[in-house]
Amino acid sequence: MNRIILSLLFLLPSSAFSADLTDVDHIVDRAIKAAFYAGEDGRAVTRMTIVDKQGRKQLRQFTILRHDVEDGGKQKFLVYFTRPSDVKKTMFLVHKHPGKTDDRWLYLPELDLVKRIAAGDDRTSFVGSNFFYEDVSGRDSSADTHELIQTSDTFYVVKNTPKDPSSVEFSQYTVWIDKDTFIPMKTEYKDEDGTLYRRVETMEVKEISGFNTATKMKVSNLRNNSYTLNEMRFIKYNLGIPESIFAERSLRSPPIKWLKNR
Amino acid sequence: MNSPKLASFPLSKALLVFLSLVLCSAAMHAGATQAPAPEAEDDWGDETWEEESSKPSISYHIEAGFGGFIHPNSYVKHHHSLSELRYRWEATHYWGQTLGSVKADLTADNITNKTTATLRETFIALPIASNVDVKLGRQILTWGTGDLLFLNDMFPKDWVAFFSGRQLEYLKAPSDAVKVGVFSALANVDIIWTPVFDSDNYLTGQRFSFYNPLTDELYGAPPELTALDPEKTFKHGEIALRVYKTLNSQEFALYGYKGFSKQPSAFDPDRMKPIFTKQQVLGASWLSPFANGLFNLEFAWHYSLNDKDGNDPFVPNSQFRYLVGYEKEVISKVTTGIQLYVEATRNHSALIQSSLNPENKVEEYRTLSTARISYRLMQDKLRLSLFGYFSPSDKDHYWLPKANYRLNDRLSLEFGANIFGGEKPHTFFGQLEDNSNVYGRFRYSFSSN
Repeated sequence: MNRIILSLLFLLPSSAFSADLTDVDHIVDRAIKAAFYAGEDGRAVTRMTIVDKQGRKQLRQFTILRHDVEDGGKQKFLVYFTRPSDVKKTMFLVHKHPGKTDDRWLYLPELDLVKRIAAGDDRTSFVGSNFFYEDVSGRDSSADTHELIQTSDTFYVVKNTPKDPSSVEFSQYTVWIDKDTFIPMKTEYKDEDGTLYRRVETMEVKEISGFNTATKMKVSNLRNNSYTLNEMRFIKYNLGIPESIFAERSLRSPPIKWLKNR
Repeated sequence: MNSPKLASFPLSKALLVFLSLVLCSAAMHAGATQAPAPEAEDDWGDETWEEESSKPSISYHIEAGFGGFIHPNSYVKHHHSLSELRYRWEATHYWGQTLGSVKADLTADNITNKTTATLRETFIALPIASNVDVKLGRQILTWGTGDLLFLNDMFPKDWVAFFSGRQLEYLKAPSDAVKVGVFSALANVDIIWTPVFDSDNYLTGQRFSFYNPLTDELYGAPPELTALDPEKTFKHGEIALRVYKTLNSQEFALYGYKGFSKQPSAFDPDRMKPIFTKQQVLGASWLSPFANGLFNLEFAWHYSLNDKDGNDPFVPNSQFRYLVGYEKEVISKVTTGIQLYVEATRNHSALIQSSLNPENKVEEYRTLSTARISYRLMQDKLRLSLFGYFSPSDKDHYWLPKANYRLNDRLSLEFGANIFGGEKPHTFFGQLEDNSNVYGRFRYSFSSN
């Protein structure tokens, strides 16, 4: 009997043995690192299905390369669009500086034009989808105050309030962070009337090269019932992608060696 | 001129070929997407996601464009500013790290009454060393910091396409060139050699009228204006150079060019023809984030090698060109930009003294400002924009309102106008007043994967 109990215990997730965390900043920090900083670098092929309020669909497919300059800090991204055909070979380069405005460049292949983009609102649509720039590259944690409002068997529930409410469209948002993987499983945004209007959900998590990774996500606009599904495949970490490729050279000549699926 | 034609034949016969091509593409496309895939996510048309590197990536679109003059233009023969059907075929393929790319257009043009096949892009690009890239063949080339203003970008432009409301990509005409990019921690260098001079696609009087300084009146075809190209020898080619570096979010660049003016702005009195005159350009630019926007400065010295002292009435003088600009997303999804630009003509008094009609010569300082506002709405499906040029010195203007609506991933529509005006008929935009037009285009895209 004891042996059965012992073996059952081993099947339980490791967090069942560790004490719950209580420092909310530490929880948020771990969640950001789990969601946006897995490995030193990474590559994924992403498909977005954008569904408007009338149910009409648009599709986007792109390969995303990431290099972390510092863990939890500066990052560089290269996004290479492959579908649909009118945006094919369009590239997007981002140098992310948390706490400062990002540097962004767009490459339009039909004009051979490298266009620097004025740092805009981070909470506007990424390529026409329900995802915001911030949902893709992460929100600066120091822009909000965090409060651990609940610790359940499976989640740390953290309420976040913006330090500068005029800079964002929400009054607060709540994140359900998986206690085991630290992946944010659900985020709900409320407007200034306290009405829930936006939801980001992690639909599937897979372990890839030892890193728990959200491979399916959904963002819903609850005001008009439009939503975007995001599915990632061919995910790889620690490929040794050099920082030097996150530069104008790659916009004009795509670094195919790093963009290929395998 | 640019884009030497592959073939050219009468419109009626061509339309048949044209339609068959479109139908073929549509059939091929249908075949590709209806391939059985048991668990297919039908919206995507495939389940494997695999980039099939063994096969070239092919896409094609058809586009129809129509435009008319706002007021009848008595200088040109027709009423349309745009009337064409275009079929575009594109293929790219990688062999290892070597990229091959082909873009071809078949255009049935109701204004020229011809159907032409043109190669817009045909190149091979590859890294030949870890820090050296080479691109060889027909390609589109662009650099510089201006928004629809070009100081150091001496690559060919197609003003006819731009003024008639074709897709913006056609503003840039292709170059048959070799581009070598060398990358290092100190700075990056691009060297571009165009062995045989490529001019702009300039106004000939066929589609649009313009001011003829020799006769001091507006001009329309027939006959079309034909300029004499420089000799087609390597000695008369073009070299362009850029040294650039991004440091702490700021972009620095130096530019150089040796070749010819891109417009036939000089005149050969012996042969009685417009010609392209020898030109050298040296310049620099700086772009930096500033107050949540982007600030840019650019300078260029256009040195007129055949009229260094500025006293040849048939050759344009040297110029200093200055640009300062600022762009910002003022509110979410609304971007605005302004630019101030000055063309300072060197040795202006010599120009006036030697000129045959001094009252119609350029001002010593031609000033130009531009303003842009663009607005994205409906999940970025609708893009509205207004761009305007306004010259305080020439008292003329050019407005470009535009609305682009993307119905879905295949079909998009664009409506816009090109509105020119000015107090005098000889100024840069004032001469184009009769060419003011409105246009509409629709495009349907296919893709093989």
